Amino acid sequence: MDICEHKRCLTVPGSLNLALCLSLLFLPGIGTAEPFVPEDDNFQVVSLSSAVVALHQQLQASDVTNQATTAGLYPNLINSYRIAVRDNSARAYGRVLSLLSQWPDSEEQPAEIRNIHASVLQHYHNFEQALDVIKKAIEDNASNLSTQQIRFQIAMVSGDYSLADFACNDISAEGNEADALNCRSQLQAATGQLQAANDNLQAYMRNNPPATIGQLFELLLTAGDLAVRQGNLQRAEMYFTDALRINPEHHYLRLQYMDLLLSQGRHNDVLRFIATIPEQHINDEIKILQIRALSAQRPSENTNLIETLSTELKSNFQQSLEREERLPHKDMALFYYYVEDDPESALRHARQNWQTQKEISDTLLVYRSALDAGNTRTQEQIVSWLEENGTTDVRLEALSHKQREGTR
Amino acid sequence: MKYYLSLLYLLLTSLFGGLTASAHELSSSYLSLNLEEQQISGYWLAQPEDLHLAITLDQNNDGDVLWQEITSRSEQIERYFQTHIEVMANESRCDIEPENLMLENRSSKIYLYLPFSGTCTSQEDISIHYRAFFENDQSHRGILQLTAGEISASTVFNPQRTDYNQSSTNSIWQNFYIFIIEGIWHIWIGLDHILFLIALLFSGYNLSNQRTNKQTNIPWSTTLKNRSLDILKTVTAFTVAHSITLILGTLGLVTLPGIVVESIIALSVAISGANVIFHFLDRIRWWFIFGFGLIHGLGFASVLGDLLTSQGVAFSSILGFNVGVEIGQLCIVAVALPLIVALERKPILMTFTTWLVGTGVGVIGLYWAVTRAFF
Repeated sequence: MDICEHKRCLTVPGSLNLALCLSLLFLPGIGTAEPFVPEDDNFQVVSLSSAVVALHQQLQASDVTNQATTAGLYPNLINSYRIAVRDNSARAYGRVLSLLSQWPDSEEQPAEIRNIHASVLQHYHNFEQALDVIKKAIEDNASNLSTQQIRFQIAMVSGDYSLADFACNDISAEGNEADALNCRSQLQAATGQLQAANDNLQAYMRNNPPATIGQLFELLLTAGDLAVRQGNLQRAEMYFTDALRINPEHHYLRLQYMDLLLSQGRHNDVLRFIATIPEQHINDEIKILQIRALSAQRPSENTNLIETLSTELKSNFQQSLEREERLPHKDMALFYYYVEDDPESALRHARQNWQTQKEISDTLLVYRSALDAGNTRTQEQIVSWLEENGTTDVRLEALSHKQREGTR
Repeated sequence: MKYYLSLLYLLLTSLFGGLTASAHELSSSYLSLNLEEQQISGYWLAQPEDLHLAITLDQNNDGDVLWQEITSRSEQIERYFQTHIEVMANESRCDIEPENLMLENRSSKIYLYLPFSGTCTSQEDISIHYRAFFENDQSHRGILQLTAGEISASTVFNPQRTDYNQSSTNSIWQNFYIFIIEGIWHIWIGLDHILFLIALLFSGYNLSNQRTNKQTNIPWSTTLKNRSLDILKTVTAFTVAHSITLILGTLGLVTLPGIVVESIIALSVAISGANVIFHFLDRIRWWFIFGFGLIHGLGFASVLGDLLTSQGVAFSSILGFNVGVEIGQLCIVAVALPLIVALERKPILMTFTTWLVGTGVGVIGLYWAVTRAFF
């Protein structure tokens, strides 16, 4: 595929799209090379990832006569999902979807398969489809705690707090006190009762040891989030560190922890922490954090690494475009805001992201971009949404103060 | 139960993790086809990982795929290609022969490069059936680039779209239609554009010349025709101007900070409102309409840019959005024009309405201009 081919598609009807052509023309370092034949037969073409090796083993072990039946599909589904989560493998997630599509229509899916289905759809940010699957799962079995928790998380991510309230009530009915308190605290924190949420959580954690390590982890994570929102970074770090001891591979926790370190200017700590993360778990969001830390540390010494990471990010965005996928708007907004220093482009993507994801980090991103881009309309929209929900956060308050200062 | 408990743990781990799968693990293949008269040539780029899952490349299971392992499986690879990718021309299958395997680096990944050539019975009505790798991985995407004579096309195969038909152009028209609706909708919900347009329509009525405005004896049709001509010129000037900047802005060739564009749009509303009453711009009316039309176009481009960030810029989208904006404007004119003509037959009412429109639009525009620029 040479540049002339791309130029041709600018003028010909039926071509993929102009953006693809333009971006292929203007993105340096993402080009192609000529085909070649290795001179050495022992030339290593590729080293297979552990996920591909595991999936291959699974495919080889699958009993051909049994694979289209639920008995054959069930263990493969569980196993593929496990690989997907463990190795963050796109192919394993794709394998889960393939197996789900093979599930016979005549056979009811067990609750755990529906939960996997909803989780995978959530992973692809197909929230509406995930909620449809959850609805069916709840119709079949209303007392499944995992299903209720998935529904609660989707509702919180998409900013649908009435649905979150509904789901949290169901969790309270099905789960124990720790599960109930965890969801209630998150909801309260997002809807104007941050202090009450924090007080309740602190009191509970002082007096009641959670029943399971998983519950303790979730409570620590929530407590850390609340502390960040209140501006108590020392306490937040304590909670996050404790939570990391329980589950060091939790992606959301890693991001929150690194963001906390960056907000304190601890760039070396961020880089040290990233060095401990397995390569397959380093996604675009972590790469952007890495660039931020490198840039703040010794930019002149890290120019090559920053350049390499930026090229990788552009290449990944390019792939999403080529594949006609839902664009990774949040990553792109972060990239334009922090790496390219282009708040206008950041705002465009942050707004797109905010249409579906309204967690505090999404809101902060769109608010920051709008402020730096001088887009008063978006600022008003965000402020009014925050007021409507009563959302409070010291970082939002700082931005609001900056907005007021800018108008004086 | 053991499964269920382990699953619960996995769910909880992934639930709150929300990790986007690593991009270097994404499964994509590229199919390039070139059809000149009845000769077909091209190549297929496939990732070794996908072929390994489908037909086992790493025969010693050591986790590394060597070039010799690939060449020893070349027959299976060629067979896989021929059984999973089918090119038809005029309902007859093209006779395609794979050539020697090679490798190619693309976007920091290595692909197997399988060139091929052959013949088709025709160069028309090309269809491609692609079903490679979907059985094992529904996240796989096959990216097609087709050139057949003067025609060039691209598409992305996914589990729901495994066929490409050259004769099918629905997607372009569907996209065009979607963006027409978006354009109409944007005009209808964009109060600033509506007020600007209404002020332009009312600025044709001169308050200081009320006697000559008494047109009650002139037939409806004549009034409507005269006013329509004036309004047609007005709308055309506005349209030409905003079309220019809509295209340039959407393509990123002209950009202005959002705060500047939004503030100037608000200012244009305020000035057009004032002009309804004071007519200070009558001598340079067309320049005014054209100039501010350019700025409104950048505002439209910003909206269109937001709509396009999820799917890329297609000409059908820009054209559709522009056509939609015009339709939206014409609908407003179609409602406003008979009302204005009817009001002109009642000079007192028309004078009152003109004052009301001029003052209202002017004040609202001024309020927007101040708040957008300073708050």
